[in-house]
Amino acid sequence: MNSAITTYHESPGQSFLAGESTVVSAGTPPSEAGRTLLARLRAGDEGAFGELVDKHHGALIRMALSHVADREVAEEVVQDTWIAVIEGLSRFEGRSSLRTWIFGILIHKAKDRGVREKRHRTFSAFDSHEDDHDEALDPSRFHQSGEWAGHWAFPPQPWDDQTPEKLLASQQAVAAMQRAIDALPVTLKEVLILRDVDGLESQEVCELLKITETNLYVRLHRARERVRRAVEVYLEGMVPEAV
Amino acid sequence: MAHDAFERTAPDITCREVVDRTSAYLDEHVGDPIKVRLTMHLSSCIGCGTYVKQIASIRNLLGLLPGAVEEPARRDRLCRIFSARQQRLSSAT
Repeated sequence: MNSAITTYHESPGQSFLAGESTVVSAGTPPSEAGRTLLARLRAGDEGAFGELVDKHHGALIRMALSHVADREVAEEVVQDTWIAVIEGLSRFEGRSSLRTWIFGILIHKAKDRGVREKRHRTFSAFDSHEDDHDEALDPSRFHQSGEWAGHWAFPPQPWDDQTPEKLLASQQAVAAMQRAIDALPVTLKEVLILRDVDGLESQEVCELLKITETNLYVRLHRARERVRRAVEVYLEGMVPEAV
Repeated sequence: MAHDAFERTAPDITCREVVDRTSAYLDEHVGDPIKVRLTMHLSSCIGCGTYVKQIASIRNLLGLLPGAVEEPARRDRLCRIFSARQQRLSSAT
């Protein structure tokens, strides 16, 4: 594990990455709960640190996997992130939320590791990029011409009120959703994980990824649609009473 | 708030345009003029109503998916590193 001393600091309004090993986060102020947690961390409360790890570890792993190809490497990147958090905590001034700061460190480390990995890899599906001209939804589902051009030709079949909880209770459905997330290009996966899986505010996501709100919603919708489509395909393969 | 060319010029809204704006609409990141038109379209279009509900369900489900579990050994090790660091800081001040 690389636990070399690395300096992380905040500086509102400046570049997110000010240097090779410097992370700068800005913007979204911490909540009351965030300030309380930070005070406990600064007081050396080991339980508070454990809570922080429990709360964010899963999302950090998924975020790291957006940039590196294998789970073991993602674990190393996240471990390095936590070490950097521990080392940098005394210098963290709370001008951004703790969560934004931690994700900023992770993204920097994961991108750096991903770049180094790519130097040793040939082309693979992992390197796929999102084409900005791609449609969110298959255009053939809409009428292409005539009075109803742009309106549904093949609308989605309704789900009943219990469908979401049945999906969550089904290992196959959860696996189908996770496969759909894994298959997303990095630009879509990172917004989906930050916004929907870990629940960051849209402003925080834009700050971390340095993208506009318009761009965020274009990417986020494409990502959500691909997961929705995976569920649609899963449901089409089920007997009608099953879900 | 984001506004785009469509919002300024299009006289009407198609299902395809509703689909493209579904996530921004659900997260209340559309301006009032487009929100009114989306809401009016949704009040009369079953296909778009179904689509918007499904995207909302997916958004909500994503936050409930089982996450990666931190192995106790690694978690304990991180907590020990944290405590050791805090003790070093305390003794230095």
